[in-house]
Amino acid sequence: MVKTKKLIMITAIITLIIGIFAGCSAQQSSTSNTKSASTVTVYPLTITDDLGNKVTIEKEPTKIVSVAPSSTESLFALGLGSKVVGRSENDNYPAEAKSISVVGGFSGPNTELIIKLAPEVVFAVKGSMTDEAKKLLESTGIKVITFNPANIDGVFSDIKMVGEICNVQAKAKELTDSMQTKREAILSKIKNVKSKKVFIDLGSFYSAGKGSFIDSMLKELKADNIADQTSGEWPQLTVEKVVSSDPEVYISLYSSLKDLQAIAGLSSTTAFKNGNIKVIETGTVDNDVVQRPGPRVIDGLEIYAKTIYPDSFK
Amino acid sequence: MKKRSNKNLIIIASILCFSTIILSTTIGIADISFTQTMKILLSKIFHINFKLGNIKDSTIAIVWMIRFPRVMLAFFVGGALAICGVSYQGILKNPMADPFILGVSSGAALGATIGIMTNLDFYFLGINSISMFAFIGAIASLFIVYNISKVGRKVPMATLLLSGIAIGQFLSAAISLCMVFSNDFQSIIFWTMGSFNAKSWNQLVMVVPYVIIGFIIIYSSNREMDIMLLGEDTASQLGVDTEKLKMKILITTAFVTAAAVSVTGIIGFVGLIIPHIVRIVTGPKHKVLLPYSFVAGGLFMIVCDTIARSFMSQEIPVGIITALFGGPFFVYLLKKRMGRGI
Repeated sequence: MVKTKKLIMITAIITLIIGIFAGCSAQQSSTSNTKSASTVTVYPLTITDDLGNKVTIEKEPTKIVSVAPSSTESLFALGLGSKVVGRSENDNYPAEAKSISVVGGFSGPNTELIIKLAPEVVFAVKGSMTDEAKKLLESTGIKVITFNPANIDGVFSDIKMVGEICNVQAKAKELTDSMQTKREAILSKIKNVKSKKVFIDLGSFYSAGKGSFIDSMLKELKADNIADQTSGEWPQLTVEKVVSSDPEVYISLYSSLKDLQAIAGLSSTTAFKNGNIKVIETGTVDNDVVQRPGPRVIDGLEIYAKTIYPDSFK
Repeated sequence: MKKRSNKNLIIIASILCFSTIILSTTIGIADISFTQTMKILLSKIFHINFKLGNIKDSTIAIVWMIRFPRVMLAFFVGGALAICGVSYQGILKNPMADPFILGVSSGAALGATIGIMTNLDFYFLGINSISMFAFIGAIASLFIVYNISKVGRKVPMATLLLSGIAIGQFLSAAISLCMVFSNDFQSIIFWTMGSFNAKSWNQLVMVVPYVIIGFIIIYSSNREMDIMLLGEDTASQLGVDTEKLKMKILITTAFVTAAAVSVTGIIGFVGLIIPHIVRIVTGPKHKVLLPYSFVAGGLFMIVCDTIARSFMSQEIPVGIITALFGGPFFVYLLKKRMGRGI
């Protein structure tokens, strides 16, 4: 008699405990999966960044560091500029970003400076921070979120992730919605175009290969990227390959027109014969916008669309 | 007997050169038939009137403006680097000497770096400003190395070698420093990797005179260079003006190397290994070693560059191919030679 009672009590307690845990976790996942427009982020928040790392944000960040131009732009676009305490050398937009102290550049983030600033969160993109630097920052309690968007949809989800982490989800949705509207407007204008062969010259015939971000933009515009038959994201093409692929549009993000005209053989391509060569000089706004997977990426998409299919935008 | 076999060797070498150049021009990523290639080449070189009307413009451009000049440039640059390697190995009596050992490559790279950073984008006789800066840098670095090593009127070889290494390292560090502060470091890296991509007739025309004149000057001293192998003191006792010879060879090789490097960037390994490979076959006499090294270096470079540009649909840096193939081949030859007990 006593034994059965004990058994029932233990079972009840165990069921209760399991029930509580199940309920709690269900509640947590429902908080992070909610899609309603005005959601307040509940901390602690566990998210998975683009590299598959699970990161737990303890509380709403008050000090943020960004070591990639695209994240810096996202932060400012979401109205979080006042919370950004550190940026990378190449973050040149918006103008307000230039007054923030620099904590990193091409050779990587300056972990000493970042730790001194003591942010709660650091936003990076794949390749801008080594594993060692990341581990060093994390050992001091700083959370590192790494982005690696493969296409414009990826940029949207990254912006939304920033919104969720920093508790500005409504603003993030507003921003991505307006970007999507602009995107659809561009795509509708080129709905019935015939695909064109395009070559993107990043300098010395290095190009954006299969799987690269620029390649995803070209695919979205139904352009035929002549560099996508290679392996690797940044292949260098031989002049012979460029000439035999015969691109109709040649977009140079580095070499000047004079440099290109000095290369023997290019003049026989359709692009050169028809004068469809666009040089987007390094250091200009356009050059940033066509490569940065940030809030201005739709402007970049528009530049590509207008360059490749000028007749659809008259 | 010997004369006849020498003559045979010359004929074989010439045929090999000719066929390799032609064959390499028919190879490439673009699908162009052998007959089409031959038609284009023959009509352009000998002005024979083949009906090229039905061949695409781009095909003609690929064969005549891209492949053929690239193959010829590879031949001359490969040959140039090889004979510079022979010269340095002879004068310095050092089997590890290559055309870049006296800091010439770092000088050229620094020149190119400065050219890239100052953004002076001009063209002079079809050669761009960066190549010119590289050329000046190469000559200047050798000038510095030579003058540092001078003791009175003599230039001891050991001092020359050590100064070359020291200056070379210093210049490399200067280049790295420039890269840290420059926004163009991508360009600088591209330049130092060495490539024949996008090089055509302009580059060929610039390099060939230096190479041919350089070869003639070096070849004219072939007997003195043989004697130098016995040691400087012995050579001067035998009547060789060692200082004058050294200066002559160093200046000539500096110009030849500078011309090659300013146009293609730094391509290692050829200047180091080809002289050894040829020496195993022809022996150490410079009269034979120089011309055959030129041919071997040229052909080797053509083969490596053809692989670099046709193996995959993207360009592989040719320096990787030269090392990948040259290394094992050299080891194979060494083992064979050791087995024969020479």
